[in-house]
Amino acid sequence: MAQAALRSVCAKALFTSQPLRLFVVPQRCHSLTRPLLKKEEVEVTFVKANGEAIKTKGKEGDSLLDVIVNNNIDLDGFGACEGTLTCSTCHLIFKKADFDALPEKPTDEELDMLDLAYELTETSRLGCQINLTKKLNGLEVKVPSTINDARSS
Amino acid sequence: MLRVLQSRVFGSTKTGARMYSNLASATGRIEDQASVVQENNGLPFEDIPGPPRVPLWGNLLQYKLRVYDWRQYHKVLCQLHTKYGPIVREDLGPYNTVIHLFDPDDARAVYATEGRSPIIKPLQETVKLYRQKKDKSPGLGNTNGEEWYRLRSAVRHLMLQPREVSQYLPEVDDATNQFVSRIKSSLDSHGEVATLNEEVAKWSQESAGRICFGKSLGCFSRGPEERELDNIIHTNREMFRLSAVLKFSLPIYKLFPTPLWQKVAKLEDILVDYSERHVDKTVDEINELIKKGEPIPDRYSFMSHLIASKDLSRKDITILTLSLFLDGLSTTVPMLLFNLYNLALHPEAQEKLFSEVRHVLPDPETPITSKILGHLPYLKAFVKESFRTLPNGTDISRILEKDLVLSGYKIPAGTHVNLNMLVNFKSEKYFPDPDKFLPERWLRGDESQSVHPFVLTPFGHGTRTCAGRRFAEQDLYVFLTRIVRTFKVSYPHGAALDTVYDTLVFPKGPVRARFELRKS
Repeated sequence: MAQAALRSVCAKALFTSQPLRLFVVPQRCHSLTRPLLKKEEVEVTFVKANGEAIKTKGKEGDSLLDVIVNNNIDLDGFGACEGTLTCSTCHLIFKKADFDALPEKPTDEELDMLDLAYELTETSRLGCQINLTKKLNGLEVKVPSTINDARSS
Repeated sequence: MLRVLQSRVFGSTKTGARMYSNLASATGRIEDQASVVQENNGLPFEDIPGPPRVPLWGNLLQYKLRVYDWRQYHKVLCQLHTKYGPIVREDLGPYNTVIHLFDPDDARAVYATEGRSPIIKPLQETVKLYRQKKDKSPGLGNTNGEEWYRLRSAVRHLMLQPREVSQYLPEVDDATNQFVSRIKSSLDSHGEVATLNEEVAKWSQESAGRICFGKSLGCFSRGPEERELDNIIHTNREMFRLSAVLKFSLPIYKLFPTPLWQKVAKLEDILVDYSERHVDKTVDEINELIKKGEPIPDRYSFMSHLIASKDLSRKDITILTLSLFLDGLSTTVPMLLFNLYNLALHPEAQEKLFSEVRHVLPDPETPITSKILGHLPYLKAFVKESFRTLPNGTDISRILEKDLVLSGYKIPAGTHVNLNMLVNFKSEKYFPDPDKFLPERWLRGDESQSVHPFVLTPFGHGTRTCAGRRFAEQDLYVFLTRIVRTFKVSYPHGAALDTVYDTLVFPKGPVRARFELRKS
């Protein structure tokens, strides 16, 4: 994937003088966890613990963490490890029906991280592992309160 | 499904309960209310229990006088926990206070305050100093703040995303098949391999070498390459031992080069020279391909990604690669040996594991894929149980960024705390039947068996999680899958395995196991 992008810049790189600046980084700033696929917009609502609902939009292929980052939604401490499956701060709680309909079941790695999440429920997932599809349009997820509480105490 | 752990919310820590009971009894009298305020803020830092300290030396004297045996530091921590309770202060030399934390609720509280760049203490002060003196990049483990964030950002996807790491699965599998052949050809008349520790270490180098440098380093060649690797393995081990010696000495070596420091620097020179040579060669090979306009083969993927990162200097690339190449020797390798030992010692668990592995690999020749590794719950439970029964690391270190009340004491920001969860691994409180080797306790689906989530986090938690974690796990899973699929492992009569602390916990002396070929 990134390898292909890398190769494409190799030819240009030949003309630079520094041997270690031969490549250009494949830019991924639009998505923390995977490159952009298509441009369909998907509507998502994040409901904070105090009941405040934040209606926002993401692009198909973005993760729920990407949606929060790209829309500058202020959730203190959310997504601390930037989608690398090393923390559980992007913990989100789904409605049962939405949870069951998610296309991919959690991997062992995600389950291990979820074990360390606050307010874990039967319908919890990590936002960085859920990628938007057209089918998820109108999704509403809950942001557990303790992410913020633990950090502001 | 998910293990629901709602009862363990942040507020229900032991400390919280104690404060509540104090609040309840303090109605009416003003003096009592004043003491409650103090209690709410925690007991004073100076009152944290711990062994008696002497000026300058602090608690180092106990280690020098062998009251505490630092070669058994993992057991010393258990002694401290038993004698002084859930929070203990030790001063390891001047200006080197460490607060030992043993309660998983405190571990949870520490992790909960972490922001984007938690601050840690390096595992080996010696390595940090060496790299400073020799003008090297510090590497991920020896730096904090913005510098750390820059390095981590450059490698976070490459090293920590499971799907990126699984690209290297065929290389790891190939190296493992070489290892299996080596074991088959090295068995003595009792079915043992005299140099099992070294063979496993060479497997680690073969696997890591392919990932880092895109080729086999000839670790099983029986030629000069293999002999050179033997030297690297020995040097790395000695380096970890001497770093531990210096950890428990007055830090004079930081002021001027003591003979011991010079020895450390010489060993580190050997490790760095070897790695640098291979890094330089690989960079040259990649540059050569580019000059010729040829595509870069996937096997160079790791290093070509590092080269492509505009945020990394050549020095950074060298140290990051060196770490991935060498760090497995003191982490993955001892853990593999501990897992082998547990396989040999627990035939029942081994048989369960074998039937799981045979189910996903009916034909032993089938290559291992990430899909296959996703269907091995018992294997993953087995590895967790090995982390519990024979841990490799003693502590996760942090410098607190905020004032916290931990186990009832007020700990100011800037304090060095160590999360020493291993003292709980043999505790009935957290693990029923703690002396039994039971991978089953880690299987999902049985709510009644759920384990406190912060007791066993061998790689740490949060953004400062061990950067090699996903590589290490992949290594462990592939290695054990192949071993279990190929051999029946049993334990020869003789002394049980003992462990020794050399910065991390290693098996003491050669690990013994008998290998018998299975009839597929």
